[in-house]
Amino acid sequence: MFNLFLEYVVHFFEYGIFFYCMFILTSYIVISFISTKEVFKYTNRKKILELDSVISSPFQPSVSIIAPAYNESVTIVDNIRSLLSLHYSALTIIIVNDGSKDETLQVAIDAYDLYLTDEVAVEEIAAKPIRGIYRSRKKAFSKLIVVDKENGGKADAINVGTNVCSTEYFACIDVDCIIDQDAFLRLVEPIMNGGDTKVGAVGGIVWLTNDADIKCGKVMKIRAPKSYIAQIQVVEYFRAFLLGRPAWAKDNGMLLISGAFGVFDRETVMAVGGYNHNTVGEDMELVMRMHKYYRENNIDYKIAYIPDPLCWTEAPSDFAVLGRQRNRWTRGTIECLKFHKEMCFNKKFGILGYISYPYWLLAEWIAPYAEAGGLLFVAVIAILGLANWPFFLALLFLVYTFAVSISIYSILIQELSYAKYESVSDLLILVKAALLEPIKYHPKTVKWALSGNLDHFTGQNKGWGEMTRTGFKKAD
Amino acid sequence: MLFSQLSGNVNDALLSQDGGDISLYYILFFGFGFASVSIFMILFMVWRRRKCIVDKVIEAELIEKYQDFLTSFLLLPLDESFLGIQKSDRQSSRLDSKDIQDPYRRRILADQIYLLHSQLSGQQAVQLVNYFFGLGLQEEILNMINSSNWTNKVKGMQMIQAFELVEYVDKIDEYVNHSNRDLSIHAIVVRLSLDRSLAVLSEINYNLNTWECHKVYDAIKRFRIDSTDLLDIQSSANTGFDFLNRLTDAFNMPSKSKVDKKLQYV
Repeated sequence: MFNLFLEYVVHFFEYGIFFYCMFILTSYIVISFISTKEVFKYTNRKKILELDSVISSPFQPSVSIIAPAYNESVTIVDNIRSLLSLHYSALTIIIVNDGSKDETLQVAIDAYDLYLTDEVAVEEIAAKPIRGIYRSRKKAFSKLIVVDKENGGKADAINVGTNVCSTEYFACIDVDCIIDQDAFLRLVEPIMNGGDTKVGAVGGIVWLTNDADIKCGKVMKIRAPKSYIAQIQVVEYFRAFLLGRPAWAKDNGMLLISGAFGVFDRETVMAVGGYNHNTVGEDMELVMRMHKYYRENNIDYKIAYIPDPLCWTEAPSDFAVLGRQRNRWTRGTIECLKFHKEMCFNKKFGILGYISYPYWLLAEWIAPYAEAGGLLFVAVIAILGLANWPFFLALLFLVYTFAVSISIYSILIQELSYAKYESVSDLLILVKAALLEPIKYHPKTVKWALSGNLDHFTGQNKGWGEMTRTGFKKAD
Repeated sequence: MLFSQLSGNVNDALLSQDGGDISLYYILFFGFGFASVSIFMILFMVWRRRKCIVDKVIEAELIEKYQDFLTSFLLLPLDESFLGIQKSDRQSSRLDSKDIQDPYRRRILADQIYLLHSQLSGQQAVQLVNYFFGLGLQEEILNMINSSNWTNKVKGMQMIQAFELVEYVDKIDEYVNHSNRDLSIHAIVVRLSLDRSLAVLSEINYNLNTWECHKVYDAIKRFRIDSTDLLDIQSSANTGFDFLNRLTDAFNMPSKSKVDKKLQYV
């Protein structure tokens, strides 16, 4: 009986993990090729779009930027200045001071000559109380609104911003991100081109700026980061934004628009009740809820994505901070998948139910278990002296070369599409990082994902965790 | 006993005597395949980056040379030689036969003339167009229009628009109702520019979306087309009253009330 049980266990690992690996390998190849086609389609089309004319067009949709700020007194003035310089006329900038303990609000008041208005926002989405709404006395800053509210976290701050804003669309950004000056001209193009299809949200590429030259809130020159940990994140972002999301967005199967930068239809966000406070994956959860809302109400819609670098941010530069971020991402993914489990294999949700959701379940949630299980299995059979080493090493070689080739392919697509890295040495640094990734970095991501699972199932709510950044490097 | 059974299972599954060697062969084949592809991609990437760096330098030099030449051409009196070799001591102001014959250089020269033309008006703009024809660069436009790449077609259309080549209007008409809406809207804009009227809007067989309305609006503004022409297309069922309404709204035109009134009866 025991022997039979063991046989089943062994067979499960032998075949289960082997076929799981084949599934992942095949899906990566398919997704990469669809994405490649989409990226080149976009970059080719971008050449003839003539987006500058949108600046003065009466047809441009109105957009608000909602930027939550918490203890940002050092950077708030520069960040607001950078937002004010964006090329888009129908733009309102809403800074939400989320109960900062430092001088964030006062610094903004002094720098932009703000005064307390008697405006009141209708609380369409439940959120923490607003202490005051500030506007500038200076005409040059007439687009700026600063909202002071009680502390409630990022999701709550965005909900307050959504209540305050009165534009057709809003963009939520992390206040420490750098937004490309033409970002909104590019983001609204799919909205304007939507026709009768409701464009619920639009996302773009988030690019990493570690060791880049920044001048006056603009990214002047991108180079490969010096630290390995940032280098490998650059490659990870290429894989996600150039080889992943374009394919998912093609047939409206995208479940996530990055929290760092995305544009949302205000009316829909209001209808679905805004951001969810009960998850650390509030960006993904909102997108899933929007999908659900549109599908349940039979609205012809699109969650769009443009493979264009619109937002620049700094990657965590030490393993402890990165570990906390990845732990949070894992918890967020699990929470979202659990909140919307009815989507799985539900024909009402079409591609989302049959492909996107199951893929996230298998490739994002289950992956660390499968990898850790596979390693454990190998360790057990090695200890028992049963390992078939030639076969094991051959399989390891296949998995390694595949992982590396996908990473190098993502660097190549970056080179063929945007070519942001000007020197050969920068490219070779990224290639080196890709070669080392499966050995030096990937085991850590599995560990962080497993700890995220553990924290989720043991009910440890670690919230967002503290993020420390080294700050952008200024250009000479 | 147990160990031997387990060992048998592992071997059976992963390296069975009858098919194991083949499995190992396939795995190694794909492993080396991915490794070879990776090496190829790295070499290609490095080669391409180096080429881009060199090309960028050559292109910058050519652009500088052509800009210098075109400036001299416009500022200095014309020589009897129409091919643009001017009476100038400045060697940099001269074009050689390679500049005219080499397709890559011709394309850069055509682009520079196009860019400069967009910043000029009056006699100088006419002079530049004549020069463009003198060099036979209209062939570049035809090549672009006939190209299989649709963005090249658009670029060709933009040149037709810039140089006001009304004789190519037939070429443009083919694309007014093209299934590629980007191509179609560019053709419409070029027609608006060449016709200096909104007549082409009556030929459209689909409803314009907001982006396309914006492009038409932008063209009307840029080419200073008399917007009272809007009244002429109210009877067109093709263009769509939605467009009209948006357009009249955008211009805040007196025709708005007439459009609204007409809409009540549709």
